[in-house]
Amino acid sequence: MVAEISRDCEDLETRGVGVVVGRQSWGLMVAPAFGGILAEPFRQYPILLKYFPEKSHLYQFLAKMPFVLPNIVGTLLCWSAMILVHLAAEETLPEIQIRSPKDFLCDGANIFATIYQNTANYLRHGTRFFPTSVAENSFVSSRVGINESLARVQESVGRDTSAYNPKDFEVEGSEDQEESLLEDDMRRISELPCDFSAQVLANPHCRKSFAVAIRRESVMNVSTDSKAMSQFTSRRQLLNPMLIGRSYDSMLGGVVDMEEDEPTSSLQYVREHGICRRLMTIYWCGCFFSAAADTVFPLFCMSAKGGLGVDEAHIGALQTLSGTIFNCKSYYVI
Amino acid sequence: MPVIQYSSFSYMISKLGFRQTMWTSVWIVSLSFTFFPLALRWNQSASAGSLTTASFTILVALLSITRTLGSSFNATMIFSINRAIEPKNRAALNGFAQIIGSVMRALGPLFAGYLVSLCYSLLPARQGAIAIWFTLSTICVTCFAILMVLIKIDGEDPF
Repeated sequence: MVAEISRDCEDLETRGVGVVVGRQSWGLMVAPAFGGILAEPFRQYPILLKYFPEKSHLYQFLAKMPFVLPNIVGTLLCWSAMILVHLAAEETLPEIQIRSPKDFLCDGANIFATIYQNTANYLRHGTRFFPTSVAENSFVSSRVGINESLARVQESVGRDTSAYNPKDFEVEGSEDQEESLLEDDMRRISELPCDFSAQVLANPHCRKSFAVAIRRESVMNVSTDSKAMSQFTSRRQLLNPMLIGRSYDSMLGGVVDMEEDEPTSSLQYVREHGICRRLMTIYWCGCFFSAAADTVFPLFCMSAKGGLGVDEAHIGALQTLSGTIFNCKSYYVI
Repeated sequence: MPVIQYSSFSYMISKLGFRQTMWTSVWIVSLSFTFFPLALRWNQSASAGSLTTASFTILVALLSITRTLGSSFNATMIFSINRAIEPKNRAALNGFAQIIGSVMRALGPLFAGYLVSLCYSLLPARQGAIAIWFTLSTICVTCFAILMVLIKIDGEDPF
């Protein structure tokens, strides 16, 4: 989040991560103390009995669950954090990738369907299994939306493609340049040897996806079986423009080099980028050894045989003092 | 209104750079592990269940050093990972790194418990304690060195 917000400004990124990690350390030091202060309130603070006698509901509740208060406060703090994030944190995702909760169900079905289709493509045509398209498909289909997409398809069926006004489509960049590209795309798509070009044109995202595929010379030189293409015009695929583009690519039997696409799946990205893999492994090793050392230290302190044989109070004092020194070394106050 | 900054980390990065900060942190933390058994030696005159001043001081100093440098190492790693990943994949891969990181944090105590019980059961008490800290230190620095060499062999420098 810090890296995203800092927009590659190294100084801001350094300071941001520093503050986040530092505040986390303060939280780790202060939170247990708060937990201790709030636990068993009536036993720790008998004066409360003056205001909440034993017959009161609060006393009976807290006597039954003496450790519930720190949990309630923790929950409230979490809720406050959530509200603050919602109100104050800047959204870093591009607008096209912003998700709507109503799309989650659609995405779930879409993911399974895409996995099925990728597997089927691999078995039938030997094209590369491409799990990365799952996330991308979900994003694009959700951006279009089921109802909007269906409405556009229904509206477009049976209508002459030339009837579409280019200004109805979303365009980016220079208006003249985009308009010329749009006309070019519409011409190319309408020339496709398939029976759903009108439906493709009806959806701007679908059009863009197809346009990317058909701009490649190798694709244009391939004679396409319109019957084979029609098998991809299921309702689900019409809702998912990116999937249509990919299906079109893979149907051409490997003419299009799928390697050109940058993979977006986390696992595939890690697998294909050695530097990323190594750095993450170092980070994971760091997590492992840090947790191991944090466990070895109290065991070493408490062990009567071969250790220091000290009690919890001494360990607590050691941890508190070292934590305070750590925080003092990490921060300064201007 | 006071402004709080993460000064030691910023200082190290400005003076040493990413790669050297990581190396320095790992070397010093690993070296610190080997000094923990000194507390045993300096605590011989203490009564049961207590710590001498010398022993208490060295433990506090070593814990502070390992915490400060361990946290610098973590922050440096987060930077390096973010720089090695292109922006559109950052969110997903940071999440992925944190998931596996939490699994590793869960496995760490498992390893530590096994190491402590193995060392104390196979070796005499004092040597057992020394073996625990030296094993932890050696494995830690070896893993890091191997991975850094592999990064160098790959020829990609994210730092």
